[in-house]
Amino acid sequence: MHGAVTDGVYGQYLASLLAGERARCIEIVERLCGDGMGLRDLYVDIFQRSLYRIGELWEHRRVSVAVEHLATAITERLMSLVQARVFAGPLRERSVVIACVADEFHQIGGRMVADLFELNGWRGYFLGANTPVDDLLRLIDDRRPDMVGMSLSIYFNLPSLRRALDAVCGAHPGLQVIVGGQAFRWGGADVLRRYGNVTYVATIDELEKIVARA
Amino acid sequence: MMGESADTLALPGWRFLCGHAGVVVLQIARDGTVLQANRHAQALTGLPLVGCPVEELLVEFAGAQPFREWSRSFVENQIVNVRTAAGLPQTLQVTLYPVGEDVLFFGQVDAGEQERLRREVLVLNHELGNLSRELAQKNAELAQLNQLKNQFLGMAAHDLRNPAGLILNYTEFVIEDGVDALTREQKKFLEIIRSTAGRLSRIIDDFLDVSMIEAGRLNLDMGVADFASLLDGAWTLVGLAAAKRNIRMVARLDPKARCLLVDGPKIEQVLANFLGNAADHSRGDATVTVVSGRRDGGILVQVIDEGEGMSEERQRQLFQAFSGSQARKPDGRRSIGLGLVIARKIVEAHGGRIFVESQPGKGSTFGFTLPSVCLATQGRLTAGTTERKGDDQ
Repeated sequence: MHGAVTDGVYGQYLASLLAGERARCIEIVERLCGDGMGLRDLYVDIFQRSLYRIGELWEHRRVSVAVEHLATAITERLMSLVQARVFAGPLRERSVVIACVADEFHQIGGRMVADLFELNGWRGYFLGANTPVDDLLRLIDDRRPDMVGMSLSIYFNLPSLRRALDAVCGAHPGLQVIVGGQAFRWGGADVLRRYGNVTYVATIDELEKIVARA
Repeated sequence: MMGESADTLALPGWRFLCGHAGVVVLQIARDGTVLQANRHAQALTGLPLVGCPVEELLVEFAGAQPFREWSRSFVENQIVNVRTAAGLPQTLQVTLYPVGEDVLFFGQVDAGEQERLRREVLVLNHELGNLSRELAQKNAELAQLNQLKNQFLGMAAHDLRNPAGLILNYTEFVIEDGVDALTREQKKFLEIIRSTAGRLSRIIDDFLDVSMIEAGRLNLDMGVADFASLLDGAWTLVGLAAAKRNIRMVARLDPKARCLLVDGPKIEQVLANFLGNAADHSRGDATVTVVSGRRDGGILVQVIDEGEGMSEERQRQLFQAFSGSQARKPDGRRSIGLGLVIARKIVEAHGGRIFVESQPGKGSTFGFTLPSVCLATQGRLTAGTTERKGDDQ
């Protein structure tokens, strides 16, 4: 047992995801939802856990990049399946803009974070992969969010993140900014210290604490 | 798997090419028969290949130069489309080497093209996912705003209902009690206040109905009802105004469609709305005809007027709330256009359908159907044609 999912069910899901069996993955997720599994648990104990595992397998050359991409595409499809529940509930008063910086093509982590904000009663605007700084600034001007989040999966894209942070913090000095993503898994988040209003968020638990305090 | 002749074994890397190399390697005889094929070729095509005519592998179109014609000499990087086991054609960059009487065929997928394709598919998939997310988010936001609007409408209407009712009641008291004390002009003013307060009350009732319906709180209280009585009740509500303009109602009721299992007061509300509209849009001395009968196992009700009729565009807007279908009635009063929206919801809640048939200058027929479950089997009533004139009520 890990979180809200038994090892057996997780094993079946992971095997189906690795095999690219979309229909089987949908079946498992629909069954879990039907059994009353909460969306937060679904995101963390199924989606995040399986994608982290597939990322490890890719790093150890046990699966190809195609398998990783297919698993990501299937997971995004599964997220669409539960979308109506993510956005249900009363009108949101606070909002966050989440973006993946320029040249960053791994977007699923950012999308999950935007959805988790929704589950916590915020409006989570998601700009997607490879967001140019100008587009990000335009949306911030348009939506006037209470917080901005940036996702970085590949550490080599750090210069793009710094350009985005310089622009956002320069234009909106009082705006709270959070940064997260797999790029900082082995460290390196200390480069963010120079920005006073930027917080590095390593885990979903930390994210939820920040959301609760905000 | 390819055979290994002495000649081919001499080629550097030949064993690799015959094994798992991601390159299609074929040896083709002059007559087009495939003599040898490597593992990749067989896996890609799902065909045995050896012994087959090469055309079985190729996707060739009429008008294009056939493979056999251009494959006789050395060819480099020629585009060739081949069939695949997955069912989708695959384009290969092909190089041909004539070797003796045969031809060696080397085909590979353009890696750069595949990389561009993969990236584009990835980006497009992201965009599609994000658009779908945005759409779901906006849908949820619209539903939330609509709910808020209904709450506001319901609260506002609820709070306005009592003051409007008080104005109406006290005006009536003053008119009744002050018959002798009031001047003719004062009485005229009070009549205007009474009629305006009455209209205000009806508008507020419509707002309350709409907000309850939109909030999904339209509950039907089903019971056996006599259609003729419902029609009488509805005519009572609109008859006074109709009487002033000498408008009469003629009813042709099928006895087999009189005993209903419906929410009586709500169906009466629908009929009152139809009759009120028909009277409002009719000239003086006109007739409004009500016809009921059986249709497809259920019930069909039609209210036919001799009014000015309407365009198709206006007909399309009639049953939608706040669609801009509000119009001035012939007497100059404005309609807020919610009555038909409420009528539609009531009919649909019974499992029926509401409709209008009209042409400019030729009058209108408003009608609704009810399903067979709305026909009660007990208490059949006597058939008859009734005639009502406004001032009879």
